[in-house]
Amino acid sequence: MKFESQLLKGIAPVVVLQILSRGEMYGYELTRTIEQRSDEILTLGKGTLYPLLYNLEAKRLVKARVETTKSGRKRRYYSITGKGKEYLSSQTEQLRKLRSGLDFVFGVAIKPA
Amino acid sequence: MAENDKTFENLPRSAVDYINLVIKNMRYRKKTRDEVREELIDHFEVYLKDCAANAEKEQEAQRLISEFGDPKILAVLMRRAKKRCRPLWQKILVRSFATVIVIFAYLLICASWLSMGTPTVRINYAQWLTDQQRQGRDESLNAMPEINKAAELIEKTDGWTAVSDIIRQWPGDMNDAQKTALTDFLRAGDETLNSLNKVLEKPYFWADYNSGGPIIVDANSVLTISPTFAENQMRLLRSYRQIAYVLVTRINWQAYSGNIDRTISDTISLFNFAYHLEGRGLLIEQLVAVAIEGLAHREITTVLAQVDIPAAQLKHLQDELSVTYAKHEFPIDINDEKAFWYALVQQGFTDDGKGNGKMLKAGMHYFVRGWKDGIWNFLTFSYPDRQQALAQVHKMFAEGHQKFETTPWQKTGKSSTTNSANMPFMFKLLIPAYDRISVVAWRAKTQREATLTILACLRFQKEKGKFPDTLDELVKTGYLTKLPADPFSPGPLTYKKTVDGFLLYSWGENLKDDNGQVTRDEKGKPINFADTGDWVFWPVVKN
Repeated sequence: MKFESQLLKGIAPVVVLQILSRGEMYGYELTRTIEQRSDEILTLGKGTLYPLLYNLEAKRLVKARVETTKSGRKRRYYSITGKGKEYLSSQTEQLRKLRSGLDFVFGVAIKPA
Repeated sequence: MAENDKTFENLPRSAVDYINLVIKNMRYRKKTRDEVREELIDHFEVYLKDCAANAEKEQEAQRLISEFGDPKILAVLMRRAKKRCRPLWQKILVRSFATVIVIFAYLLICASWLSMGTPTVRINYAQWLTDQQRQGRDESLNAMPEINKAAELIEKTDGWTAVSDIIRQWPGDMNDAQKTALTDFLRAGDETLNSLNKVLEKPYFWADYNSGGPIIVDANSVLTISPTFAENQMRLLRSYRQIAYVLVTRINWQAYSGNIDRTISDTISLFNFAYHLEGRGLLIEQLVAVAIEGLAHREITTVLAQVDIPAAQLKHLQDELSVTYAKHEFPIDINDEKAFWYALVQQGFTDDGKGNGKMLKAGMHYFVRGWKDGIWNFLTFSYPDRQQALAQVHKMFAEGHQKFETTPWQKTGKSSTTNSANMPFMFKLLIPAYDRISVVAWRAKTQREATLTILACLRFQKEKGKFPDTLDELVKTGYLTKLPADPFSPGPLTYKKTVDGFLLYSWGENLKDDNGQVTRDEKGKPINFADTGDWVFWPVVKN
């Protein structure tokens, strides 16, 4: 499903951090995992993927290590840092509140009296 | 190429080209580009690994390429993101270096701006200055060449070295050996001095500033300040002072010997000499002229105090001096100095043909207000233009003229109208100098008034048998045409009849009446024209 890019812009870093919190991954693996875990709802544009990862690396929210594959190719694996986990935790809380608010607005949830 | 082939061996051509284009457009450090290349290749290889046929590979590669998007945009996003990955110290270093480069480039532009353009030399101001003084007159009317020749001859005259130490001494105070040396010298130089007297009767004096002047035309037809001007000028002016001293020596000797006619004629020559140099040319020349005139005044009063001169000859001298003084009402005229400044403007600015132009490096030294303004002008390209510089020159000369037209007494209590804060740096140095020079000039004027008054008083005494009771009496009886002004007081020179003569003085630079008391040094020697005490013209103050 294709969402408005502005809608996804803010949550892409959180989604990437959430996926990486479960284990280190390389770039292609990360995009496939996001699609699979979101049931193809969320797709991270390839043009966005690596710039996003590099930005997260610059902010010290993820770190990278290089490993040589069996075929001799150097592969870059990304993993979440401690700072990234803290950031993820705070962003997750905000998203949860946002989701609650939206549920109330669209009538999915009933406000407590 | 072989290495590239190996790197991309699993990928279709379109993927290879795409990746290479992205990396090429990144324009970043090689190490980082290699890392990114490896990452992209890895992504494409994993994505295409399940494709069996080449056609399928190519198709999937195209799809992935379209998902990655425009290679230039991707390259830009990657470069920006990778730059953010730099450690802080590296970011600071790079930014600092970039800042230094930008600042340096800007300073280079600022400096280049001053070098852009060339001055247009339309007027030779050395010639202009010469023409200003010459006024189209025939060279035969010019006293200058022969005066300079006389100066050279005097230095070569036998006995000059022996007398140069005693040259201003009154002969009555000399010993026999000194008198002999003096008479020998005067005899040897008699012809030179006599011809000098004749030359000084010529009506005009002008210098040729093209040769040895302050402004010269160099080999490239560019007007420039002569590096040897100061040296040449000091040598010339030194020789003029020597002429004056030699004339003083002869005056003293003639008076001592009782040869009154020649005393008077040499005195008139000395005043003519000062007159020739005054009121024209550069200030430095005129200041020497004023000094020579001052010497002449002191000399004549010394002679009058020592020697009894008949009333008729006193009148002759008084009449001659009145005519000489009238030729230059004021001993100093700063107008000719404009040539110097016009030449600087011409040299320091371009000429757009409409009377304006921008400043060049040569103009910076003279027309910038100070180092702070200079830096501001430099950084903001806001130097004064040609018209503004000329306006400043005219303003400075107007200020200067005003100082010479107002007596020191009239200036009392008035704050200076000069707002030097907004003036170029050089002008700020000159304006106070003009203040000082104006005092010197007004002092010379005062001496003129005093000399005429002394001559009138002595004439009065010889013809009436007594000194006048007041200066008004001299005017009423026709010995003076008007009361002698004292520029340093609200009224005329102060005259007091005394038991054995009279006292004549100016209030002097302190603008106070000190009852005719002169300032003396710690040894009791009177100080001529001190800035305290009065300036006494008669009687001649002795040690």
